[in-house]
Amino acid sequence: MDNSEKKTGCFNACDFRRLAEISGILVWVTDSDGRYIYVSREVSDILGIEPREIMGRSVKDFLFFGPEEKYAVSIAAKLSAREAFSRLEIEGRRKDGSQVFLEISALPVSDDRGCFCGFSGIVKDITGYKQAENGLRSNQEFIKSIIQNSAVATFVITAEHKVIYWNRACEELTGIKASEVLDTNMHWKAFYKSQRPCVADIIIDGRAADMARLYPVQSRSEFVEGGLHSEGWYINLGGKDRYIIFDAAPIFDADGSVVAAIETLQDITESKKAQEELAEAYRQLKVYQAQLIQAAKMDTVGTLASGIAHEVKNPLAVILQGIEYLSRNIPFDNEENRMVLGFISEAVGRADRIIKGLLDFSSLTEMRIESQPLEAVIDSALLLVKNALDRKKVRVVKNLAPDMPPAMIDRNKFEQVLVNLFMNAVDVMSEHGELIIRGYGSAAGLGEDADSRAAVLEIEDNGPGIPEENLEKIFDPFFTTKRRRGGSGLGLSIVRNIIDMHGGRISLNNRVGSRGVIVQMVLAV
Amino acid sequence: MVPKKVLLIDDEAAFTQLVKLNLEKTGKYEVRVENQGAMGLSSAIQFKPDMILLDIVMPDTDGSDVAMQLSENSMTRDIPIVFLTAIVEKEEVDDNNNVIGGRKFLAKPVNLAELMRCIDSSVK
Repeated sequence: MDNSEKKTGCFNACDFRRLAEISGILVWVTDSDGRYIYVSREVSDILGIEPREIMGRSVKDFLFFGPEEKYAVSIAAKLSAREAFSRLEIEGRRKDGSQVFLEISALPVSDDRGCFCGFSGIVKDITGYKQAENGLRSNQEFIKSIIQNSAVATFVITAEHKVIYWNRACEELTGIKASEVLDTNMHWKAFYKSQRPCVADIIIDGRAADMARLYPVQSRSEFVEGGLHSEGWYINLGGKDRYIIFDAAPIFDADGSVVAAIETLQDITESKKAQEELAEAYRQLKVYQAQLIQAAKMDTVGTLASGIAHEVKNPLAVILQGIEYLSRNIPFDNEENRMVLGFISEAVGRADRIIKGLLDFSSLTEMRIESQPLEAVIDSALLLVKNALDRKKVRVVKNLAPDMPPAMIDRNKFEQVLVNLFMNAVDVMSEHGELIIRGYGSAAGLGEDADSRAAVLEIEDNGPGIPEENLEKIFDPFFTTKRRRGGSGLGLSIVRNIIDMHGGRISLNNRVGSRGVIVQMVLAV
Repeated sequence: MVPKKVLLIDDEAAFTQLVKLNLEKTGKYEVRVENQGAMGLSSAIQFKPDMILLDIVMPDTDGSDVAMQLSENSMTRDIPIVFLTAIVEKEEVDDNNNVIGGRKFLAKPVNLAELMRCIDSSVK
């Protein structure tokens, strides 16, 4: 029996060998001089060397790795000192010179008396594992590089809400350095004054339903399943106000569990501003378009007016003469006939008033604008409507500020404006109504010139007011609430046209806090 | 009382017929109508009216041309003319006592009373 076949308890050397051969692990044993007395067959698979090529050699000559191995010196020292070493990862060379990664462990072996009788050890080929590990490390570096070098601000948080990536673009955009947030859950600080979930946090927590509460503009991602989108203005983000688009998406592991969430930030402030400016410009355009249409409508009405007036007045003259004739030649005691003739006569009168209104349009170009004290014009207009005021016992309250400047007006046309407005007020008020005329100077003029001044004249009644839905149409030609009382629907159109021709402004609104209407006119001085 | 002779020159036939009927019904006027401006002068010479009611806008001859022809003819130059037209406004006429630019005007549509007042004030 040789030494290798000595019995160890019931476990002998043969058992050991058989175990070594079936283990698939390279097993080696030396004697007390450090010479190999056993090397399992795996050495051939791992290093391409036959066991017999090693047997009898000293561990000082051969220990499965080359002289360049960084652990060579320390392993040699341990062997000399007869010390155990465990799972040292070493880089070896196969017989053909190719690289191999090994994990080596060794134990000093003692006999029954405790005398050192050699080393036994194992060597595992970990080349595959090392390559996988290197590949994984390389992949991680690659991913890190993609995120880090992306021009899109990006950060990634783990399932525990810890920040693991915060790229340079994110630093630039938020003004927060990666070192301030990495390995923390303080990423919210970049966007909010107090702690609240970012979109990535909502994805991690699976609380997409919270989005509507937390983000006014939000939606589910169109492109990524489980992804969320939000956008909005962020004040003083990285030193300025920005409009940011956030897109976050879950990152899954092989089992489909969410292990992280990636969130990107895109600063679209400039395009948002441009978009808002465009929207404002479009709105303005619509206003100008409406004004143009209105102006064109007025112009058309004015142009048609003079042409139509003559053509319509002649048939009216015929009708009127016809009425005169019939009223003298039909039985006088026939009430029905008289009623019918009365209707026709009234209709002729109304048609005549409409024609007159139309003609007023066409005569607006003949304006003589001069600086005039408004009080004189107001008094003269009040005189013209005195009968109507007296009939309804309307109280006139005139409140003109001493500093109200003279305005640039055509006296006759402006008097026409006032008469029209006074009569409208009288018509809508019940008896003992109150007509308030207020005048003052205004520093806020009509033009863009900051120094320009204006005269402001306000006329208030305490009638029933105007239904809100009619306020917009109130200056439209032929819009009237007095159709049954013979209103032509041109009065306020003419008023506005006259004010427009003066380069002034007129507005008509219901009074706030009390019944009635307030008409405000702003006139150049 | 001798009826006042009125010549009405206007292209609107229905209007002229009705005015004639209305005025003549009163028994105070004798009215001749002329619906062609171009015939205005000859009608005036023939009819020898006390006054003429003259429309301005007419298709063949403008009322102002007819007025000029009348003023240039010794037989008609002294006949008072009142322009009865739709191209002036009632207020405009009323504000100026029916006189605009030295000429007497009546604005259409006109009622019978106004018409009679105007005729009566024009005929001495």
